[in-house]
Amino acid sequence: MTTDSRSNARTAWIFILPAVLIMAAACLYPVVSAVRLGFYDWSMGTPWAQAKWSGWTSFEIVFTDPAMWRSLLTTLKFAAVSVSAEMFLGIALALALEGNIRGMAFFRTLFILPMMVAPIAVGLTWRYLFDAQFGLINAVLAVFGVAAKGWLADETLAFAAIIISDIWQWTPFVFIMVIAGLANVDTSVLEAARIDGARWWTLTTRVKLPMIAHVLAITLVMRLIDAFRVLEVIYLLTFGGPGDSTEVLSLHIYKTAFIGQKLGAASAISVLLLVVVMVLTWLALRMSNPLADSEKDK
Amino acid sequence: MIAGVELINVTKRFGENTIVDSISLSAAAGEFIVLVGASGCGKSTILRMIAGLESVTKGQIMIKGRDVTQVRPDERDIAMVFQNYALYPHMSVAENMSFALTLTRTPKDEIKRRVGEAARILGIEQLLERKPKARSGGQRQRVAMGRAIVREPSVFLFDEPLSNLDAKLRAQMRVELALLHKRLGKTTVYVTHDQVEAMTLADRIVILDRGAIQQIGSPAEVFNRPRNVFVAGFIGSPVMNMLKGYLVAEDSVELPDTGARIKLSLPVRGATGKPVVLGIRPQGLILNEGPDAVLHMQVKVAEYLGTETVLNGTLANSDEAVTSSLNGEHGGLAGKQIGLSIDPAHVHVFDAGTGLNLIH
Repeated sequence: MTTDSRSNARTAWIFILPAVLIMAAACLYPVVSAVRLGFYDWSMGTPWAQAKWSGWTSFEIVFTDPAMWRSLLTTLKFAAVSVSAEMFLGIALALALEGNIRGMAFFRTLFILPMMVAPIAVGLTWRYLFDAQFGLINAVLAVFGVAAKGWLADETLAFAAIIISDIWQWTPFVFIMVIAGLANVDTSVLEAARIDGARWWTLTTRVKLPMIAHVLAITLVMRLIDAFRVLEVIYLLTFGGPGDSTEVLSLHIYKTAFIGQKLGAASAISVLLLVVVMVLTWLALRMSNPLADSEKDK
Repeated sequence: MIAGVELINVTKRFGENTIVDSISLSAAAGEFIVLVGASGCGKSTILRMIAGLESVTKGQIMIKGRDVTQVRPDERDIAMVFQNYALYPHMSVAENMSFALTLTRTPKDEIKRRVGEAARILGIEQLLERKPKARSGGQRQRVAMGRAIVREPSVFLFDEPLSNLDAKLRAQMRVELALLHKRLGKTTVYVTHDQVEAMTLADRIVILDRGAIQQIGSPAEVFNRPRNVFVAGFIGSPVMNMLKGYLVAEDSVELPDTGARIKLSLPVRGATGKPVVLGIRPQGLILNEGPDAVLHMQVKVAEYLGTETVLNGTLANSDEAVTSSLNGEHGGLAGKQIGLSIDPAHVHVFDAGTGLNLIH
């Protein structure tokens, strides 16, 4: 490294240091605190000084707790089904609406509206929609002669309900990301593909989508992370029920911390959640990492 | 003989705007045709219509005698090289080159043979397994050409393929393109705004302005016998001097500001007094320090280019801009007033109203 580039690097560090420190404080502090809390037995409302060192006990309890494993499985199922459906629908919608067809601007705006609604409102709205007696969904089904269903009372239907609400709210996010990605695809590449003989399906699957693979990867990671952290809508819609059929990990953490008053255990599960999300993020980025892309081929 | 490409009264309109206005053009099989013109003259639109990327508002496009006006791009038996290369960034060089062949289910051995052959011709064998992204502009352009070659089309279309390259590489690629055409012998339609590319590559040049053909001819024809003021001003470097004057005899033009009378090598049509534009190539203005100098020039800037010096200035007693190109080094003339005589071979007379060449 020359003197010049060393001094350039130092200048760069001086400029990014404040941001790095703030990010470190904002991101790392809660994580470190959560890990630390996992090693203590502490109840809210009691002074931290009274917290007892419990070592690995919380982690042992958590890892041997079948409810936690059920909750993790529910979360994995929820994330897999909802994120797959959102990716599929978001991409399909974006492909359908990417052209400059008259009136498309209106539809594009309409499609992204659900994303802007606060999760609390989404939860409440869907709770009324799924209501067995007064819900709109059963009313619509009745028109087609389908008997009223206890959406939120049946384990399978309740699971379907939380997935439907998540798809409704977050498909627009995938849509907006994909449509932005598609807008940046070089049109001459698509023209070259047309000359090469690519019809719609080939053009889409072998040219367009691979060209926005980095956008898809980032979108997938963001949706996966969000799906693992989902809380408010499920809290309002089913509160994890019936039984614990829709109790996702965030809700399990919430219940462990604030109902069970076991903050150490809740922190231990949070650490587990963090690890799962990190592994998934790593896997998704390994498939198509936009940051490493330019380096790989040199 | 069946033409390689033929355009019959082709018109392209976008809404109210006519981009290409009823042009007819025929490229013989194996001919290298260059469409040249300023931005917005319609040259790229014509190429895109031949490729099938733009619809034709009116008229017909024939490739090897077959009407392809309504035929899909991939069924026209053409291959196109784009200005920005248009390579598939997620595919390796070999995959880029073989994509079209895989879509037509060409046998693997045949694909391998054709890709290998094209890579060898273009000297990119060592790049076949690499992605195009990190390659240089010249290498990417070679890959784009390779992609066109492997399809073994009847017609090659080039849309300003060298304009993203630096000057040195452009000159090198120009030579390679000429050699490639010689080797493959396929009909080629090449679009550029660079007259040097047009002059060096073309069998025939098509000069376009505002969607209409101004002249079609060999490089020598369009240089030596420009049909009108536009062609004369477009072809040739430095740009032809255009001086206002009027006919005083069928073989004499007078420049009103300077009072200079210029004798023409051939008589021209038109009545005495007719206003004309006198076109003189800068190479036709020769330094003459003697008393018989026809024009006098106040030199403002002298650009020494190695083998020649381009003098930029104005005519003495006039503010009409004039350029002279002299062999050798004449940097010392900057700021001086010099005498010039005129080589009649480099003189053209254009009708001031219609712009048409009155000599040729």
